Formats: sequence, structure tokens, C-alpha cells
Amino acid sequence: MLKSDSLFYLLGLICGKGNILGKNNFAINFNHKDKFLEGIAHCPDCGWLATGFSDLLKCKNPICKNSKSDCIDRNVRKIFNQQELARKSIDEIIIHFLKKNIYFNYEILSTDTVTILVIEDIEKEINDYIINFFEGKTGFDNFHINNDLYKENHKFKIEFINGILDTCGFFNQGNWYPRTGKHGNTRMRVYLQIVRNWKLPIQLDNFLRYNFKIPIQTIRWGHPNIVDPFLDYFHHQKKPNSAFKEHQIKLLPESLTDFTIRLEPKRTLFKELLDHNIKVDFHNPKEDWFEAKRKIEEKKIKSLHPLNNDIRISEEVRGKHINASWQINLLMGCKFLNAEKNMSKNKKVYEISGDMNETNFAKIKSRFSECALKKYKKIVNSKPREKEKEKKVSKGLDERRDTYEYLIKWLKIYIKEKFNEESEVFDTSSQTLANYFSMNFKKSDGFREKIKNLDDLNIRPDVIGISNKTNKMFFIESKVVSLGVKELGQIWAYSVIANPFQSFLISTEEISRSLLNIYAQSREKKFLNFSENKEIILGRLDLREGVKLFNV
Amino acid sequence: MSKKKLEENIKFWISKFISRNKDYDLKEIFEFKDLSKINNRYIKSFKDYNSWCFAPDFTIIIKNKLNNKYEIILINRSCETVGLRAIGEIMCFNRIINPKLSFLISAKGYSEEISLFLIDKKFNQKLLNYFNKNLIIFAFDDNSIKIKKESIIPFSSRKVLYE
Repeated sequence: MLKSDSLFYLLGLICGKGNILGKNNFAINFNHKDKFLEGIAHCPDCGWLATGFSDLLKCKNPICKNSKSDCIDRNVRKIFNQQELARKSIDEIIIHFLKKNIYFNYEILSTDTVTILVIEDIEKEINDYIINFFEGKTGFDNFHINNDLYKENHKFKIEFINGILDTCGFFNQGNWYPRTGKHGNTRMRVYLQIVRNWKLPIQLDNFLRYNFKIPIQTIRWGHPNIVDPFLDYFHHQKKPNSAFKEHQIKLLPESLTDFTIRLEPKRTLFKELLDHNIKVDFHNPKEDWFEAKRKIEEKKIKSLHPLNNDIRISEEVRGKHINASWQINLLMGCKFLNAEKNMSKNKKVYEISGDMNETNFAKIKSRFSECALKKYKKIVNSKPREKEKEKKVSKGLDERRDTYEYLIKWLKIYIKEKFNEESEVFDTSSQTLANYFSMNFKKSDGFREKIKNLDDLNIRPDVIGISNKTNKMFFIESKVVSLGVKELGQIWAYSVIANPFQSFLISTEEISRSLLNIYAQSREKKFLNFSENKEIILGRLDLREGVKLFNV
Repeated sequence: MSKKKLEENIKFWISKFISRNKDYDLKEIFEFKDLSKINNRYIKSFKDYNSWCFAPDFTIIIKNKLNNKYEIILINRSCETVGLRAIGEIMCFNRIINPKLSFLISAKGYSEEISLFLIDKKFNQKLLNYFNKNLIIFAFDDNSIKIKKESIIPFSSRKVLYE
């Protein structure tokens, strides 16, 4: 097989936001969450950056008259229709470039927020090469950069990064940070957004650093200690999922001039960010987290975070307290930091404090742990949890809620009697499964692995049970109306995707005569089946007589 | 697109869609009607119709001119992005009625989260297939009856539907 720049560009696209669907089949997501994107606004008088959220913007130059109030017309910015432009460049540039050297068929699935390029019937040798490159992994959330890429020629390495930039690159005017230059005080950054993949950020950092001498300004890890250092999401807002975000590798656009961005409007926006930085003229050409100070001072120690044990965190980092992003870089395999660690007097001390010379591990460990605990207690004690606002709920929903407690008890007994196993049974009605498991993190280990893409799915059966020995999963959807076909749809679709061991639809009311009729008349059609030999089990809950199952 | 506008567009589109096929005649469109309770000779010609105690958003009766048999097209509509609940509901109808065609038409397409399930054959087959036919999901272009070609799932339906 002849290796080509098209192949390595394709590898980059797949690594960034691709999924291997099956035989000779790949899907690549080009996300455009907002239909329209705005370019950079500059003050018409002094040329400095203008920012703001209303229709009028304010100049960032403190001595410009336009900095006193919001007075610059927002329309000085260019507006880009992301969906249209992305679609056009996929057709005219990306597919054209890929087809230069690779034979394949394709389809495009386009919605307001994402355009998906589905590559089909790719030639076998190319398909095998791609599968081997990703070492049997099938999705962008667990792809790695194969070490063999280091041995390829420079042109192929560039194409791989081009693919990453087109799928993971974000070039937003809002991602500036304060730095002083000759003609302004804002420096633009670009970032690579890496979703749920804990290995890839540092692999990309090391790959860019080693092969292109490109420094990374910082990696913003989507870890609770980094995203939610004051426990605002977890403790005060009760939004534990918000303590996990995608990872962002932040770079200066000046460092990416050797690469080609093919997707619009990313390409144009990148050029705007680059031109801005060139115009402002910064005396410091590079910024690099690796060259920044490593040692963690006491004031930088972060509070303990109860979600540090969450299953969503990579095993290498899970359970560890993080005070600085570089610590995750180290844990996730940064070669450069590892070399530095090897030169420290005590490697364990270095890992928790960044101190190259200190040797007393017990002392440092205890000081850091005490400080993190103190900060945690301070947050919890000084700002008690806000009471959840009373939600208006319909009478029906209240009644449904009354059934959950009973169904939880019933399911525990059912699993014990029927399968001779103890179990964990949860009320998951008020939140998605992902959210529920985050709040009950001690119980969640292993469940996420059972339900792939749990974080993406807005699945919420009312009650979920998991048996302790064999990890059988049980769903219950509870209703307070007579069960008809309409009531079946939701639990059926959840069950098709998650494939629980058993799935119940249970109501306090009788099963409707119509549903019984359908069941009787259409048994051969197996309309209750959600997989080969499993069907939704219908039941009736009577608080005095218990649960009576209909078709078990 | 408002609910009313979407419903108008659906009726207009399906009438046009059927008229393009010379082998079929459009006989009746029922909107939000419990099928078991309709006193209609076409519906009554179907076996088991009296157990169809549910109301799809649109039930369309067509006549196959080649064999003079009546057949059914089901359509559900969604003003929001399509999710698992909407797919589950119409799929239950499909698994009982076994319509000739079944559509889930959305004003907004589908969320990214379920897109992968819809294009991945592993899930797609389980989620959309009934009696060797597929539920077809698509969206209209804003405020028109033109189908967004690239919203159509499964891909194999695109040619038939778009031409």
C-alpha cells in the first residue's frame, strides 16, 4: 500500500473526531454547535480589540474614547454561517483531497449542530492500515497516537495534525487572554478540544513539541480539581456533570503557520486570530507550560473534590488530588516531565509538589493533604448547600414519585428471589443516568463501562437495579396511567440501546385492554422485544398486593 | 418552524409524494386519530385494526392500483430534535401495524448524541428496523416542504425520497 498525505490527513480526522463503525466504515464528526460564528471586532478608532455581549461593544484600549462605554457597533465583526461553510468545504476541499489518493464512497448526515462524513467501502488495505493504526480501538474518545507516526516523514506528520485541526481545532475570538504587546493588551489563542480522551492531550503536546518544536501554552484538563476548584458546580449548584468538561490544548496561532486548515470558517477565523496577534506585536514569541514554574505553593493547593474518584476520570489520574495541570500531564505520560521527575531528589515529592530538592515525602504529603482538607471544610462550612428550589410538579408526577420507593424495594427483593443475588437499586427518575452516577460516585464504578456513551445519552429510566455478583442490569419505567402502546416507546428505545438484562414497564393502573389485545393478537410479531430473546415485562403495582407481572 | 406549519407541510408533502408514484392512490389522511375507533371502510379492511388503540400523528391510507389492496403510511412529527423517546413511540406503532412506509419528521433534525446510533449499523438495525423495513427520519428545510437531503436516515432511503 502506498502511503499518502491523504491517508495521514484521514488518520488525523478520525483520531480527532472519528468513529470506526464496522467493516470499511468510518464516521467523522465536524461539530458546529452554534449556527453562526462571529469574527474578531476591532475598534474603528484605535484598532484595539473590542469586546462585549450586547449589540454594542467596548474597546479594550484604556485610553481610547470607545473604552468608556459600549458604543462600537457589533456589526464590525464578520458573521460566519458555520453549517453552510463547513458543508461546502467538506464537499469541495476535504473530500476532494482525500479522494486524491484513496478510493471510497461516502454519505453526509447534516444537522444544525454537526455534519457527519460517513466513509464507506474504503479500499481494504487502507481500512486495515487505519484499524491497525488505532490498535483495535473504535472511537475518538479512546484513540491514541500510534508511535509509528514518529517514524513517518515530515509531510505526513503535518497532514495528521491538519486532520486534528479540522476536527478538534477551535478558533474563537473570545479565547483571548491578557498579555501586553506594542499595540494592544489581548493575545489570541486557539485550542484543540479533546472529548473524554485522557491520553490524547498529552500525546498531542509531546508530538507537537518533539516533531515541530511547538510549545503548548497550557492544557486545560476537564478534571474536577481544574474545572471546579471551589466546588461551585458540585457543592453549590448541584450540577456535578459540569465539573467535567472536554480537555482543551491551548496554543498560539503563531505556532501553527506550517499547517493547513481546510475547513471553513475555521480557516478564516484562524487567519483573523493570527493577524490580530501579529498586529499587536508581542515581544515574547512563545508561551509554554513546560517552561513555567513547577513548584506548588500553599496558596495554590486546591480543595479536595469529592468527584476525583469518578469513573469518568482516567485510571491513571482517578483518586488523585490535583493542584496543577502539569500533574495530570505527568500522570498521563508526558515524556518531558518524566525526564524532569527522574532528576528530582525524591520522585514522590516531585509528583505532589513539583519540588526538585525536597526529600521528606511524609512531611510534604501531610502538609498538602491537610491544606486541601482545610480548604474543603472551609467551603462546605462557610457556604452551605443552597436549598433546591421547589419545582412545580404535576399531580401525576407526584404520584409517580410515590411509586419509586416501593419499586426500589420490590426490585431488590425480585433480584434476590429470582437470581439469588444482592443488588444496588437506585431512583434515577429525576436526572439522567450520567448525572445520577456522578452524585453517587461510590456506587457508579463499572456502571459507566457497562453503558457505553452514557454521558451522551439522555437516558433516564425511573429505577435502575444492578446485581452485585453478575452485574445484571434492570430498568423500570413507572407509570400511573393505564398502560398502552404509547407508554411503551420510551422504555423500549432505552432498552434497545442499553440492553439491560430485564426491562419493566409497571403502572399503578391496569394494563389497557387494547394492549392486552395487541399482545394476544400480535405475539408472533414480538413487538415487546428489545433484543433477541428479551421483551419488555409489563406489570401492575398495587400498594397492598405488590407487583404483579403480566408476561414473565 | 411552528407545530402548525410543520403539520401543514407534512400533509402537503405526503400528498405530493404519493401522487408521484403512479402505482398508488391516496385515499385518506387521519390526523391524531385513535385508529381502533375510526369508522372507516379502509381502516376496517385491515386485520386486527380493532386492537390499534393508539393515535399516530398521521395515518395515511393508500391504495395499490396493481392489486387493489390498501396499505398504510405512518408519520409522527417532532418539533424538537428527534430523540430516543420519539423513535421508540413510532417504532412500537410500526411493530404492530407493519406499515408500508413510516416516517419521523422533525423540524430540527436530531441531536448529535443519537446521530451515531442512527448511522452505526449495529444500533441502527435494532432501533429503526421493523419487518425488514426501516423507519425513515428526516427534516424539512426551514419553512418549506423541501426535504433536507442530508438529514435523511437511513442513507439507503435518500435516493427514493429525494428524487
